[in-house]
Amino acid sequence: MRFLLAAAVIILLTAEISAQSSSGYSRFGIGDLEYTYSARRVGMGGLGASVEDIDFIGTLNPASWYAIARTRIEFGGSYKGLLLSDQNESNKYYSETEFTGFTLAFPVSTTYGISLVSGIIPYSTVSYNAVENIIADPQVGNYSVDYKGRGGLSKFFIGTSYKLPFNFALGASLDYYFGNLVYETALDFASSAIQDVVYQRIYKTNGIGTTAGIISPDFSSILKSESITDFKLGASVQIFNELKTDTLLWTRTATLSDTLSSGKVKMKLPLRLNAGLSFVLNKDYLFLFDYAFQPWSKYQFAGLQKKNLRDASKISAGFEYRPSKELGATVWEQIILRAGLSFEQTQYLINGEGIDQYSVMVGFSFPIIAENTIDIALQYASRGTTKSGLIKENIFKLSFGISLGEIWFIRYEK
Amino acid sequence: MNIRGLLLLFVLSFSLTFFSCTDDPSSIGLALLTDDKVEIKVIDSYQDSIPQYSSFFKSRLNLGADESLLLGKIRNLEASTLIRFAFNFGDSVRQDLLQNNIEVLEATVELVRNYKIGDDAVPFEFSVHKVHSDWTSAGFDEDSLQLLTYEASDISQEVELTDSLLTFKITNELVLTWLKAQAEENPAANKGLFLKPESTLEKALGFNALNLSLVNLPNLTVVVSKPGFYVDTVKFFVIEDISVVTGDIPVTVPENIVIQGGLATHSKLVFDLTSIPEDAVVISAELSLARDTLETLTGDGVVQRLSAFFITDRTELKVDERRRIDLTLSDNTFRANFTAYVQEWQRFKQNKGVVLRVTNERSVLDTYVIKGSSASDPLLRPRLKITYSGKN
Repeated sequence: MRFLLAAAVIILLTAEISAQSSSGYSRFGIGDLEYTYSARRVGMGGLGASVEDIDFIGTLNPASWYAIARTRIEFGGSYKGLLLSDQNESNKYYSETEFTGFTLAFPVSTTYGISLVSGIIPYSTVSYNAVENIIADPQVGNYSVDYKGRGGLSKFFIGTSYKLPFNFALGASLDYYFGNLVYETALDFASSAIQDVVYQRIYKTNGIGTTAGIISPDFSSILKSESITDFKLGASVQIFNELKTDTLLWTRTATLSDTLSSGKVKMKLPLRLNAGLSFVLNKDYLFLFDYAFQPWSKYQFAGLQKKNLRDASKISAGFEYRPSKELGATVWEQIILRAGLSFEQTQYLINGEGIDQYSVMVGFSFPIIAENTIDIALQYASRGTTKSGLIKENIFKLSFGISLGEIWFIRYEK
Repeated sequence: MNIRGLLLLFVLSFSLTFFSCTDDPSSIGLALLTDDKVEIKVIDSYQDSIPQYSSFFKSRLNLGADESLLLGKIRNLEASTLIRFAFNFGDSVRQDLLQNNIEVLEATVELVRNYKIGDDAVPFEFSVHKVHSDWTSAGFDEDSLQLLTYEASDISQEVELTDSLLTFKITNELVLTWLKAQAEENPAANKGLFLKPESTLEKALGFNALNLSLVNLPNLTVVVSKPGFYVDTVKFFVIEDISVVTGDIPVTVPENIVIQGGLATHSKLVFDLTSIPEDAVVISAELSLARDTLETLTGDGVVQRLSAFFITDRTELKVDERRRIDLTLSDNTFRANFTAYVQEWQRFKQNKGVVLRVTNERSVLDTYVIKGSSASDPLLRPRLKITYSGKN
């Protein structure tokens, strides 16, 4: 019951409160990549390929699900603010708030580490809005051009995990990618004799892929340090089939609504590799280091590679303080604290300039009841440059989520 | 569920909603959006090579529902009118008519003027004839007029023409005949009047016809008497009317086209738009037509306006009667926003051109002479200026 209540609350609070942020970089490729939707992972660097949680559904590495001990449902949302500047204008602030995704997990066998996990999470986001005002054009006078981009790809996945001998954990999911990428140009003329015109280019994409991952057993014994435990390595790979994409270029004026062109093409996404290591220091302090790589230079749309994309990679480091459970601990003594930082070589290569992103994050989990938390993370990132006609973005992202766990399917003896 | 937790989340989410200020969209990032750029181009038949063709032809009007009656002669046109009045009276009058107790002392036809073309100084001469043959306004045309039989003698008397009215008297005997026919329940004997212009006339007038609003209807005022009992004045109104315009197609120099009301003469105009890119979106189009002031002749009392109809069948010159764009006159040029037509021609390859008509062609005998596509001065030819946008 409380699952349903929580779901209703989260969706009502977040589903309808989106606005348009304005990252022009998201015009390229499939938009900004979403490495994680959850406030937990954002708070510790954004990755976490080697981390398994008993009270959290990670989405980067399916092998991490083997540790899930309770039926769980999790929701995420985020508020993203962008402070933009370029060579001509500075400090314009845009923001959007959105529901980002949810996941559901059912532990089937804790003995064998089998969990059944599903969810819908974002994979990429297109969101931009810019306006060009043309004054006294010799042919049509004053008019404005409103450029808007919205949409993105989402991933629905269903997968499972399994604990191998020697405590290796494997996991895999079948992923279904879907979504619309919408690029709109609207011309608004001051003269009533000229009809306003809207162009919309829509890419409607869907297709399947697979994510597979592995997490090693605890290698801390090799280090022969009593203070270090749970030293683990993890890796995952996301593989994509060619995604089917229906393309449509559509226009609308006051007296005309027409399709200018349409077709069916293939979108070829490059595989993504994630690798990481993590260990726990003095029982309460988790440290993790991760690397992700995705060769976007191999991305193809309709058989063509895009010159504005390059190989993307991300390096992150994170930290989590999880106080040991003690009887009688107050709520405040159970708060989980996180911090992280990352460097991301984004896939964008615009005007010969690679767009990099530096981020720092902090976060915490506020316990509701046992293994039920509200998760909050705050991220500040700096991306891009004002050189070469590009944009400098200062990103403020507040991620929030709720993670609920219950014991289901337990038969009590009478 | 911990209520504190939910409350925290609730407050957080709503705070973000209400306090997340956002600036209006700015120009930041425009340099990144080159793939979304839209180009605007103008193609103008004055400057660019847009082949065009124009011609004019005599068309057949479907008569019968006109709100005006035309009478007169002007240039190549001759307009004549048929009117029939309805006679309604009480049973006592009917008995008196059957017993020949009623006399008609005076019968006056009154028509309300709404249009004039030609010289004011020219006297308006016409004749009025008793019709012998049956006729009905539905489907009546030039051919029907040839078959019409009527009495040769002019039965009109005391014709009076003012700025607003035309009145004339007709013979009392004829009106009494119509009244008796109605009393005998033989209304078919009433075949009405035929009004015909004099052959030398160079002037025409328009009058209100039978109309749905029943305002200013043609009427017949009859003074009747039952000797020794009463003298009364009764007004009877039109029940059916029609005017027919005959004539040859007007003559003009080859570089002109003619659009004429009444007859009617229509023009056809086609622009070849194949030079516009297929994926262009027409966002503005203006058609301009230069009027030949010397040859154009228009009447008073109406707005000078032409209408362009979308041709749906080039061979039979069929048009979509529901789609009409009016061209208004200013500075001796007719102009209209042609965007909707050009969009359809360009996008859907339906470019069969337009037929130009006088907007109220059933009610006027106006002649508009327009410089055609072969006018020696290219600047006077029909001009189509198209603004279109194109996506990269």
